[in-house]
Amino acid sequence: MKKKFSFTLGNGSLLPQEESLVSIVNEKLKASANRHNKRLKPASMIAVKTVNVEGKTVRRAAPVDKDPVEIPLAPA
Amino acid sequence: MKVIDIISRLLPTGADAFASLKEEDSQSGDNASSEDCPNWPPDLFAVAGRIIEQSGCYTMASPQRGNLEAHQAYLDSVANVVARWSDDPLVPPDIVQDLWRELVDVHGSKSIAEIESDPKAAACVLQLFAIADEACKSMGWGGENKGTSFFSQLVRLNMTGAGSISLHLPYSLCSKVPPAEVVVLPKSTTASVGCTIRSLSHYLALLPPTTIIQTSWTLPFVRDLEEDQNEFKDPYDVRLLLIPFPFCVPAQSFKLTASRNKIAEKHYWPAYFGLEQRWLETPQEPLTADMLARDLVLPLIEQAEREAGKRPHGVVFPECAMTQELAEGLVTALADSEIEFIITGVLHRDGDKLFNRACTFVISPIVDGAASFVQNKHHRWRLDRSQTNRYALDFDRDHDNDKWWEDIDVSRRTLPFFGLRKEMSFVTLICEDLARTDPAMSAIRAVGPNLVVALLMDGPQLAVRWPGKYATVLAEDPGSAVLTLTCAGMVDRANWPESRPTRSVGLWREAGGKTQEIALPEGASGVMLTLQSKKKHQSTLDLRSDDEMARELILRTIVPVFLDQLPKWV
Repeated sequence: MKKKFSFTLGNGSLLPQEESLVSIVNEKLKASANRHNKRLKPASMIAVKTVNVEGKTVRRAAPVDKDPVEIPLAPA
Repeated sequence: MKVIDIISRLLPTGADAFASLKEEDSQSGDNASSEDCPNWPPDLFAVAGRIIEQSGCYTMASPQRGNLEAHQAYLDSVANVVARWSDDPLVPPDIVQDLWRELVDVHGSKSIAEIESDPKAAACVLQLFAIADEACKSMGWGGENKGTSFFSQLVRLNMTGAGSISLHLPYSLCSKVPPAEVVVLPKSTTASVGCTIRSLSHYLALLPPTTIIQTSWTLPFVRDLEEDQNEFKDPYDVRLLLIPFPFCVPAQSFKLTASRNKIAEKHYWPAYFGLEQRWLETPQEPLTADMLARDLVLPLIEQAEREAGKRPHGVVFPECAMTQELAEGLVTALADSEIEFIITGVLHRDGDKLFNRACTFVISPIVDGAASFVQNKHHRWRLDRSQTNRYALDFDRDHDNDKWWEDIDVSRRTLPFFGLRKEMSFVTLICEDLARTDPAMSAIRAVGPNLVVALLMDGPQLAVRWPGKYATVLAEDPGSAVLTLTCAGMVDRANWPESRPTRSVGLWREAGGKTQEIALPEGASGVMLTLQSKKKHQSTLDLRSDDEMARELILRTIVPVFLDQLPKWV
């Protein structure tokens, strides 16, 4: 039996083919803001970051000014 | 109640979901009031949906037969607006804002009761609803699907932790509409019968508020479909290993926990019964997770692979099969078995409260862990004299009494929906909850999960018995496939009086009408089901197509699984 096993994983990491979503979303937000003369906070942009979960490195999306986090599941 | 009252109530803090992304000098005048148009489509869906639901104006959604050209133009217009909104997400397109202004300024002062008989008001809110739904194509699933909108892509990123926009996930896809008012979740199946608001949307579902039942949506781990499959192929198989454990339920497992007591003339405090999981005891020691995995579950997985040629994706146990601690130990022991998910019923003591639970574990393909979903049974089982006689149970000396309630806590009602694969969702029910309408059925009918798994502690699963009747209801509306599974021990007890017993431990009912009893032949310890997931075309009441985005599950094969050597404790 494994010694360390977590039962609190809340959200999956991005698949490699999904990482392009980050640039698509950022570009659309920026273009939309420019079109309507709005200024977005730099932190509104999203980046792909690596995070350590249960000893393994996974890739997550997170706002550029924040560390990626594990979102807990809905409690029972 | 007036239309504007609903709008104000659902948008108490305004309508700008993107406010937190904007610099302060860029926020002024942007959807700050509840009377402004919501710029997050699920919020718009929630408001329009609540008005449609309460007014009943979904009855006006079908196009006029003599004017199909005009309806085609309407469909084209909706598609065009959605494409523009997805390309320019911060501000809804003019046509959406015009429709919203019409809703607020022209129809806002009207009573909800007037809307169904007011063609212009109904058309306005129905069009807003359709636009919001189409803007959320694929929302809640993987983000790389063809035709996925900006909003669905942003939700996908949000689900992996990128919370740049504040959403009520996992309880609701809304940003500004509180889940205590109305919940919006992703949708799997559009009801194809009847005329309700459920037949009016493909991608989003309108659910009761979290105060009635706390529903949630999670897509734990998006997986490739098969071991060597890198691209999405259609159709594909889902294989379930059903283990109807326990195989023996001693009569001593049922205990009287409270006798019937007289309160007043002809008025009694009812009797309660409890379960002692005697099947988790062995002559030497309590059953451990290692024993369960090593002696029963892993050999069954290996044997199922030999019998069927492919490994199961998931393992399912019946109601109350084990404890939560044992279930977690089993999941840990199966972490390297390539099993994706395990569903089991458990009895769990939390302080002085006992819960009858369904636990679903989705094992991570990447890290050493699992996403675990726990829900408590919503309704107590009420045993009656005919059942105790049938199961040969005699735990109460009060032979005048003929009813016993299950002694469990039924508070904290949750209903987690989870996406297991692309466009495929599951929900689990526990025994009695399959038969009771409130509070889960309205949520299940709204989301339309591809598969409803009902964990039972019941007699033979025959199409003519109660599980078959209630499975048929869900298979028709919303069109979910339903799988019931009970334990062999209770089936055998129920079969003792029968001269020609049927050892049916499960029942399969699919939307197409097929009903299949799942027999456990003598000597078998499990059954492997191979389900085929295939595309399904759906259409809404206003004749919008889903371009075959939906999926349905078809039962392909049933293979009994035999072990050469059963452990003595079984």
